[in-house]
Amino acid sequence: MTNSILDTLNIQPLVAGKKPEETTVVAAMSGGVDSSVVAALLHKLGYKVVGITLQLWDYTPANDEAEGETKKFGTCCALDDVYDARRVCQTVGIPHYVLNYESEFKDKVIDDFVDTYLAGATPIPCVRCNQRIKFDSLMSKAKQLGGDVLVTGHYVRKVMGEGGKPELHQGLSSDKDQSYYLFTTTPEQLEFSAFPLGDLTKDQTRDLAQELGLHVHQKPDSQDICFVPGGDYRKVVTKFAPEAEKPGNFVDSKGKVLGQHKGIINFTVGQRRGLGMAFGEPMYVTAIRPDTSEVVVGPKEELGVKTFYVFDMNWLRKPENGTELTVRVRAGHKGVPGEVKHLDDGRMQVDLFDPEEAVSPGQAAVFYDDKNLIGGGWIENPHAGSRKVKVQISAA
Amino acid sequence: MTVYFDNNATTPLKDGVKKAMAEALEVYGNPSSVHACGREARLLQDMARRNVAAMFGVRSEQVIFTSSGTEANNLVLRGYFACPENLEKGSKLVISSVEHNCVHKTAVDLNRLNGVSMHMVTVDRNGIIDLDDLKLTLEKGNVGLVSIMHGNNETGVIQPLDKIVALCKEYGVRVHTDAVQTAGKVALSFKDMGVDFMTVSFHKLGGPKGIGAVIMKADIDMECHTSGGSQERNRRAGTENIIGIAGAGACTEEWQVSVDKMQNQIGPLRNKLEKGLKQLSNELYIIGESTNRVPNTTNVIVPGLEGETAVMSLDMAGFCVSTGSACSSGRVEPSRVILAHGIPADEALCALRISLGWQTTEAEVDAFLAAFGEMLGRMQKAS
Ligand SMILES: Cc1ncc(COP(=O)(O)O)c(C=O)c1O
Repeated sequence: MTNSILDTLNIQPLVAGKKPEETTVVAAMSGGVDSSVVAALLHKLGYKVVGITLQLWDYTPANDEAEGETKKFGTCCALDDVYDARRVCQTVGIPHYVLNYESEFKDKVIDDFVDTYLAGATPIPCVRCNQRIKFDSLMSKAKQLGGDVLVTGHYVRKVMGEGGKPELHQGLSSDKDQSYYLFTTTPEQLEFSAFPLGDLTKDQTRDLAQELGLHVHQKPDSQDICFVPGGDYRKVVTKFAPEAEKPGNFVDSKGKVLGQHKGIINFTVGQRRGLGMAFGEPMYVTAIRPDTSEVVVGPKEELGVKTFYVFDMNWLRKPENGTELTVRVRAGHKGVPGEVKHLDDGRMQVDLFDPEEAVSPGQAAVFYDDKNLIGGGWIENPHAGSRKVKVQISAA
Repeated sequence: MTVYFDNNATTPLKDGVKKAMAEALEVYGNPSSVHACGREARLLQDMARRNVAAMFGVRSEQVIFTSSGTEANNLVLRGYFACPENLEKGSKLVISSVEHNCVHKTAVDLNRLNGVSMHMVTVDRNGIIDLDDLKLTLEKGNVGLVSIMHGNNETGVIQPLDKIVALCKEYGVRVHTDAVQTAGKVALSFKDMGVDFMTVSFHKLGGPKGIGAVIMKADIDMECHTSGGSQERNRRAGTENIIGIAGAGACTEEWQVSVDKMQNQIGPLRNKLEKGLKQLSNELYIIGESTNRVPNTTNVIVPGLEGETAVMSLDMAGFCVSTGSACSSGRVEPSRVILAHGIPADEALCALRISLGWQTTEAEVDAFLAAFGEMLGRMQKAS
């Protein structure tokens, strides 16, 4: 064979001490190119692979016996995604199952998504889905099925650390790194997981897909949140919580009313565009106060934050107070240096060395020691008032 | 190696069926046409119809081919009540709480759309209908039709049709039975059963999918639920599915052999399977175990082991079984039919249907028991 990527790959045994043919691998398959390659590749390497696709959302338009609220959204491409996953498994010659987790997804991901907006924060549902569905419900299912390991198509690396304890590292190709979305992974979950694409670039994955004969090799990456087809999240939120569109005031940092807005769900801390009002100078959202429906705006200088608080921590390696770490405050953020301090109530205080713009409540603060993800938590909305409690509870 | 234990969902084609269908591929005439090509198709269809009629001891004109068992059930229920004379005699439809969806939902539809009221007779823990309830309902009057299935697709439980028919006769009420799961497994004489309508579907007995039939008394008034040509004696419009009909004819040809085999060979294998299963776990139980059932079906509940998980687990080991009716797979909700037995929802979720076929061997049953035992061991470890 000439220049096969397969030859250049150096994939360690997924389960130490077990031969591939003795290892049952459960592959979480979305129907996209990444997870398809994972399943096909491991099969090629001799593993016993089973593909599982989660049906999380009802993709049929509302018609018959509307069973609960989730029925009422329009169609989207996801049936095709299930088809793609099924076809890949058939091509490769491995079993494939579709598991219906719609009601769990509604309770554990969508409700949280809505609550978070209502608390004046900006949610990351993909983290919730990883945390509460894929690495929880699906992982238990994988164990029940006799699986030895759960694999996904995330661009992250599982690296053996000192004392044989696995560490979660950023993917080698930094523009594709997805570790941020996996910060809730517990040591036990990491133990049972593997991420075979962590060393690859997206181009390499696509080439592999082609080499493995997968019809999805040119399928575009999905951009949308799966239950927000077209990206209009307001529709989703107001459907479940019409009060989210309650109008309120724009105020400045001193509390002076500057005008009216059409509901706090239209805003994220750090936002400048689409405020729906001209202020004379460039203005940014600096805070959201759900109890009074106020959106605080200010010039760029007021956006910078050095100290903020994080709750619902997950640690793969718990740092000492005052440890200097790299902090990422949103998915696309490259990370900035800062220090952490544990508070008595379990929260963390984060002190960045330099002010950072757009530290948005509801997003995650994820801590790295170089490439090594050591933990993270959710950024608190300091202005959430009574709502703050609600979000923390629902996040527990 | 794949072992297929899901024969209540559908069965592999018999060799004779494949041959008959392959031959029918060459016959392209429309059976309604007068010319030579039409006659050829007509003859093929007539021959098939005679085979089907012979299996149930009826005349050819009592057989109406449909596109499926589902359509046959719809045809009877909708066609019967669409007739004003029938509706006048009684506007209540009586069904059981364990009917297949194509009867259950049709009854709900009729109730909603056509003002046909519905009464659902409950079943006991063994899946047998409450005859007192049926009697009481008949006594109250206004019952137009009773539709109670013969063998249940999820549990295999066979209803005491003789008693049901006797009761209905007493009150002059017509009876339909969905015999999709008993046809080919137990001998069915339409006359002896005493029903007015019966539904069969040929893919459950070695025939092709997409062909079913209503067997009925020839003189009952019934509306055609599709408008069009006068095929099937005006009961079912539309050019006939000649290839499917040829397959239906072929699968019923040696029906006696099939029934005997089911009774004498597959029944004992099923009993061996159940005995073996019970040895594997103390909590495990079989729905309707001591009841009259079709010889190939076992519905087993292992509390704590979700049916869906078991289906996947066994599939990975090469065994095809299911959680219930194939049509409702893919959604983890307890089966309406299993719940109707008074089984609590958390246990109903654990129902697993194993349905043997004419091709089943003892070695397959032994291998299945081994795989089942292995699965139980693993579950214990995982929990
Ligand atoms: C009892 C019963 N009735 C009706 C049907 C429907 O038959 P068909 O699959 O031909 O539509 C089935 C099978 O699916 C069945 O088991």
